[in-house]
Amino acid sequence: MSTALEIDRLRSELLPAVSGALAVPKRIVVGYGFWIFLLSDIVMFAALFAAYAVLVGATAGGASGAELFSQRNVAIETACLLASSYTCGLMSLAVGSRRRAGIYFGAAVTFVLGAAFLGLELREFADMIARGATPQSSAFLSAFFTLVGCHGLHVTVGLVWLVVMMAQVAVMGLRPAVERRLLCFSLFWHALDIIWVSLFTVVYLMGVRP
Amino acid sequence: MIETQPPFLSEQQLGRAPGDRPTVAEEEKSSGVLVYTVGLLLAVILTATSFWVANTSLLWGPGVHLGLVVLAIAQMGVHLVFFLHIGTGPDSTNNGRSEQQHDAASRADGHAHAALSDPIPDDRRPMTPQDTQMLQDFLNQLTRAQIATKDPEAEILIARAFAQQPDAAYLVVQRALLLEQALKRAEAQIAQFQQKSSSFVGTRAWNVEPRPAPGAAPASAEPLPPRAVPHSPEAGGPWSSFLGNAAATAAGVAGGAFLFHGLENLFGHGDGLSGANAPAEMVENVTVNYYGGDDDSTDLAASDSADDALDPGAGDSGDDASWT
Repeated sequence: MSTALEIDRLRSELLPAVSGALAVPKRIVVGYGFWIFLLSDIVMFAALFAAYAVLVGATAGGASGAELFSQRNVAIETACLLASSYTCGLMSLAVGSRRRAGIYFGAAVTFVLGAAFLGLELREFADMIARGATPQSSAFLSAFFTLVGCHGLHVTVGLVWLVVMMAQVAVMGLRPAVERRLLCFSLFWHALDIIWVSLFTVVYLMGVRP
Repeated sequence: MIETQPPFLSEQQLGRAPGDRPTVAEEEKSSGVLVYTVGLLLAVILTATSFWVANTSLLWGPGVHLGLVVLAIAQMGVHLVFFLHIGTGPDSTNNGRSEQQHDAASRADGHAHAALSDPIPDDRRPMTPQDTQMLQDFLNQLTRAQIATKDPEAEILIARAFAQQPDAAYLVVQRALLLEQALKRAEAQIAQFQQKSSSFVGTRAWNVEPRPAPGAAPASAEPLPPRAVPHSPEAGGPWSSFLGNAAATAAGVAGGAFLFHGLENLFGHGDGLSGANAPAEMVENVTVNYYGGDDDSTDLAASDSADDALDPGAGDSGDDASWT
């Protein structure tokens, strides 16, 4: 009986490893799967963009984008996110060459820049709400807060993820599973930057044009 | 275990995901920092241009939106290429293998044998089409295989080892293919011996050509002598006794008998001798030749691959037969 139990236990541990080794390395499978997740995320953002594009004129007599948006703020946000994408890339290079100090440094700078982006965005939101431009006041603002807020939520999740990953690197070391998660994180972070590119173009730059 | 990794089945051949970590070779080729820096500079330029376009009055008004869209798409492209590493490289297009096959085709001749004999340091060498085919055939057989009964103790031991070694399946498949190649080589050599000795003795017309592919075993139904009478003067006695003696000398009395038995099984099947020594439950199939004779021919292979020999014991031809 114990023999059968042990076989079952081992088999359950074994199956994923064996099937993975026979087919493709797990890192490839994980990366591929994460790409599919990213694409699904981009599909969701596409829907939000479409909603925003439709509702951008529906200000219900309230403030439009041109009156609300500060281009200077957006430029700083963009710079923060772009620089954090760069440092995230440097971090994944450090992961590839297994330089612990480089990983921690890259992650710290990425975190600070991402947090700065988030802080600026929250300040912008607070500023708009203080001026009466709340999500409830018009369809345009509903769409705006949904779209930009969803991106901000992703950035928040990314920052939490980054902290968790650094804890894992510190505690678990650079074992293959941790490396795969770091790979996924960098994919996630770069994808967020890509979404931000279309976001600042569609929402802010086109929004300030009359 | 296996120090010089054979070229086939290297991780690169199995594909890479876009944005995957660079291989060592790629890192040497183009510094990763440089790629990211170039990407950052391009992105900064495009972003600055976007902001300028949105605020300038120099441009024709209705064209501004289009310009912004173009700039945004360009910047997304920069992000994809320089940050997410989606390019036209083999990792992204997934058809890089055809190129590699092309350049491998020139040296594909006799490559399967070379993989065993010469330790080539370049372990990133791509799989040749033959290697791919061999691996695919093997894996097809493996996935179709069914086992009637399993020894529970053996299963636990195997499962433990596999749990400890994450690359176990890879290594086992690699090993099996190496042994198969060694077997083919040995068989070809022995076929040459057969030819030489038979022309030397000049007794019978059974001297077969050295077979290029063991699957194409000739069906000449000339029965070879049973092993009990290795010195039988007719019917190819000399070569079999010669080989049997050589094997016995090399591997010791017990091991030699074992090896000889296996070799004889091997030739028996290859040359169409089916009845005399084959285990009753063995399916008469060309593939069985290899797995059936596998246990015993391990010694031959070990002398070639020069590392830890697998235990050649346990003549489990019953299990092997189920590999068809």
